[in-house]
Amino acid sequence: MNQQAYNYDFIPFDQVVERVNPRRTTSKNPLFQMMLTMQNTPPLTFEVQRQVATVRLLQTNTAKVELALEFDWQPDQLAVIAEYDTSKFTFAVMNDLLQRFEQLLTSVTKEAAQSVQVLPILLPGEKRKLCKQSTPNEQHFSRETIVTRFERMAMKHATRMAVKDGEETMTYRALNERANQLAHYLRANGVQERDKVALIMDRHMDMIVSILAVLKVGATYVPIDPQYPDERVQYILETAQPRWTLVDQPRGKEKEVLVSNIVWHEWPTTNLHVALLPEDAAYIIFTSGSTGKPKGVVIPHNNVHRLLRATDHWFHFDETDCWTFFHSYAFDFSIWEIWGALLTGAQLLIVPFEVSRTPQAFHALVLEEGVTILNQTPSAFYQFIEADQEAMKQTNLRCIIFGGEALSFERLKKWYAKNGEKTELINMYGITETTVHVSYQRLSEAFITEHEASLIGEAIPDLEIYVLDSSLQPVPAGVTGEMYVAGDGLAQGYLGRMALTAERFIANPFKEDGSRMYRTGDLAKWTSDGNLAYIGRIDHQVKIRGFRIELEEIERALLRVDRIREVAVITKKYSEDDVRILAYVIADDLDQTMTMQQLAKTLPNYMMPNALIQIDVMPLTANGKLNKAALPEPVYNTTHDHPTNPTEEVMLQLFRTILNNESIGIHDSFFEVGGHSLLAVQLITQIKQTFDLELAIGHLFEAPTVHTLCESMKDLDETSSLQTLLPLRETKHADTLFCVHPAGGLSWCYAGLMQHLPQQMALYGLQAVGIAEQAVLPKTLGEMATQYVTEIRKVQPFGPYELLGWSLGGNVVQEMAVQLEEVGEEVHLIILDAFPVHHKLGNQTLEEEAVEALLALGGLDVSLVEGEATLPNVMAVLKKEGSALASLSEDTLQRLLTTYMNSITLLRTHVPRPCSASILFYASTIIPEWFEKVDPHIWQAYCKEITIESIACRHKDMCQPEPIKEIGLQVAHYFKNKGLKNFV
Amino acid sequence: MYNPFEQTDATFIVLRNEQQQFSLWPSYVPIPGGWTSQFGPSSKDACNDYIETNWTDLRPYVPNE
Repeated sequence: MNQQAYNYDFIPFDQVVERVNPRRTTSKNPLFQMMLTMQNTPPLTFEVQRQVATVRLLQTNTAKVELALEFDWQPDQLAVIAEYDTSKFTFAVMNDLLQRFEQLLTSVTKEAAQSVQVLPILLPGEKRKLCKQSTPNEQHFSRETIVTRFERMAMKHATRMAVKDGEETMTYRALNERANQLAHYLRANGVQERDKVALIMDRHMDMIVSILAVLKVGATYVPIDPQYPDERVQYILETAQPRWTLVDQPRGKEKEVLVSNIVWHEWPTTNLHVALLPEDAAYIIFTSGSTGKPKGVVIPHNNVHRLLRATDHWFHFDETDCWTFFHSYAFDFSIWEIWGALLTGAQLLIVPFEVSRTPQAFHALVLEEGVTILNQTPSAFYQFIEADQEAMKQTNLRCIIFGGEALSFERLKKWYAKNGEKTELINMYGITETTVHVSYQRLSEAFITEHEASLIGEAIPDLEIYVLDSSLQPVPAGVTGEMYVAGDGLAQGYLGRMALTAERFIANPFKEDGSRMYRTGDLAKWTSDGNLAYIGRIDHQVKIRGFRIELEEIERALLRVDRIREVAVITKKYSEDDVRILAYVIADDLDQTMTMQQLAKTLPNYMMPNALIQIDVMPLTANGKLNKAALPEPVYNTTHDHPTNPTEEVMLQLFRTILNNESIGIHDSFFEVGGHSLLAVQLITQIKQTFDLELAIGHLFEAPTVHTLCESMKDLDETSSLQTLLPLRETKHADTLFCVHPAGGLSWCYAGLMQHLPQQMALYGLQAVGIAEQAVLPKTLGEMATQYVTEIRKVQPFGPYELLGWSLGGNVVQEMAVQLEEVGEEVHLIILDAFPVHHKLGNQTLEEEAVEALLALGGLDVSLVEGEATLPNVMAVLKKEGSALASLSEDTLQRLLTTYMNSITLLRTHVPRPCSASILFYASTIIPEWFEKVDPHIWQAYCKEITIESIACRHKDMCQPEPIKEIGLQVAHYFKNKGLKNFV
Repeated sequence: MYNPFEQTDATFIVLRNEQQQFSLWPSYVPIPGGWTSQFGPSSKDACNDYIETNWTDLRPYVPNE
């Protein structure tokens, strides 16, 4: 692609911009942010009459782009000047960058045949630093099994409470004995070392007993959440092939053992002796990836043991602690909860499912039981914070550990505000494949205020974290890469999926001992102060229209809006080109408009949510993470944005014409519905012609919608669209179509023609005098026609003239034709549904007729008026239906009615005279019963020839979008056939 | 940002360590110490087939067991 670009190097830059049409923001150059130039032209000289001048470069101290590198080809060296935006780069980073660049260039000049991917961008010593960054002292801990360690605890803390489930409790001794009994039972029933035993149970005492029993018999437990869909349960069972499935109630599976049926006293309570090794698998937890079938992660005993040993220096868990068992045992966070407690002699408090889903109840339980160690996913904790805010007492928590999701530091502020630093908050990153936790970051109020990103801290001592690029090379600080984890916490692999295991647990290129590292699929970057910032999933990278979207940034912006308490922002792909940002909020009294306005102050255009949906509660998965799939689909209110005043009406037509799109509303941004700089210039020209107003293009950037643009043109008063000659499209030296108003007096209705007539045609409307201000009204139709003839001849001094008129306008243009022919001009007429005799529309008074005509101008039926057709009632209807007429003053509307009545009177007394013009006639075919159908051929007597076309609509609807489109297209066709002088 | 292991049309080799664990590996990256090449360079599919056939036990081989 880059080489082909040279074929186009003659194309001016602004044309490129127009075609690319990038989103415009004031925060960056619209097309590119980096620039590289090579100055290999001869040095500048400047001669002034035998004086010698030198050329000096002056610094402007403003960067045009974020980074511009200029190469200066000097005789003996290649100099580089870097001009950079100081809000984007620090001097240190820039200095490093130039050093890296120099290093790279040196490498290339030595050996040009290298692959780009392997060019050295790391500075000397940096690679070693990056690979060792997270393990100052590599440690390996002694190997043990969960069973031996637990049995030790059972001895040491025999009488301490081990597990509590509601009112039921068990001491360490009792728990150990019960587990032994079940283990003996299992062994007697054929369970051998390295067998698998599945569990399908709810979170109760029996679950802990069962887990321990399976481990004690030397087998591997496979936890299955009873809430899983049956298909998933089946898949897990088929993959694991367990010897038995332990259940707390009949679950309809094969080889079930109902734990409550066991006759306990028949089985010994002594510890078993099994040939169990630390390398043997302790549990297999099935995780679901974003695609494909669940994968069974096999974790050996030793991984759990060393997890606790390796984190001990941070936590110092001991037997005085009380832990909650909150998470599903099929989610590996539970491994930490269960064994964190039971392998340290502490107490494990089982949290029943319903309580875990009710933040207030859970908070009360934490208070009541004096819980000291709380493990939570961030989504669950945000709800806990709310419950805590309402509570009177403070908890006894000494440690809150976050895991499972990215953490928003911002949202912890509320917690600190109430509780201070009494409880340690710790953010830990980890995955099932690396045994629960990988990294540790202690938080504090100061820390979360200074940092915004989800910082995950340092690696657990016996693990290493690498952040690598696509060539498995370490990336320097500030550069995003993918995280790989190495060390003792790695799982054995995925059950029965060898190839998958081999491509995720891969050889570690930074070691020589044949050890592996795990490819996490998570993106991160080192910060300049040695911390690790979690960015997100590699397969969740979201780009919308080429812009990288930071969902967290949108969430932060939303949380800053008043009354919004909780947020979740997701992207949803509706089709290849249609990816939308959906924001879900929990708020009191959400004000959509105000919220969006506030967001617009901080977020760039492309990050503004497409929909703002209010919900009552954030749906969570069984594992306590945000359940994105359960978020409701937004209901879009597509309101057809009606213009609310005459200016908007005309402006909207301009937009629609220039953008060639009839469905644009007054709130659509010009640039987002196809507009770009070239069209913008056209629009500005049109605006000048129509409104006689000079706009700069920047003005349009700032107010890109019809509504905002008209708002900013406030000094434009209503009279400009009420004048006699209304230039809808003013194109000099072009074929011009003049349209005369219908009985209502205004010609706005013809604006709809603009889109369909060729660009080169000019379009003018003639409007009745006496609307904008009081004036002397014409006394005959002839007088009216004369006034209009004068106006059009100002624009077009000589014929042939193209005139169009709807309803009354049809009669007027015919009279104008007569008058023009009298002075030797040629005229062609287009008449919409007008007849040489005036037909009274029913038995109405003149006033009633006037009102009906006024409403017809807005495409409204008189039946919509409530009560009598008085002016106030009519105005009410106009307002209600959002008509452009609604914003006219009462005086203006009164004048409109007056001119109407005058016009109708003129028509009634008018006697048409014949002319030599040809007529193109459009007849409406939907005719009310009471209307006596008139044959358009009646015009034959008054013109040279008549061509009749039908439009399937009512008389009063002829200028509505669909009919006017049909008419416009046909008229365009007609002009084309006629071969007008400027027609292309 | 892409991951080399996800590229279905690249060439790979199959490595094995002393614990008899297997690893897929991009053919253009130097082989780390402690690993030997068992198969390839070949397509990802062929490498996967080789791994599925030859790797039977996830448990790492521990000498003197």
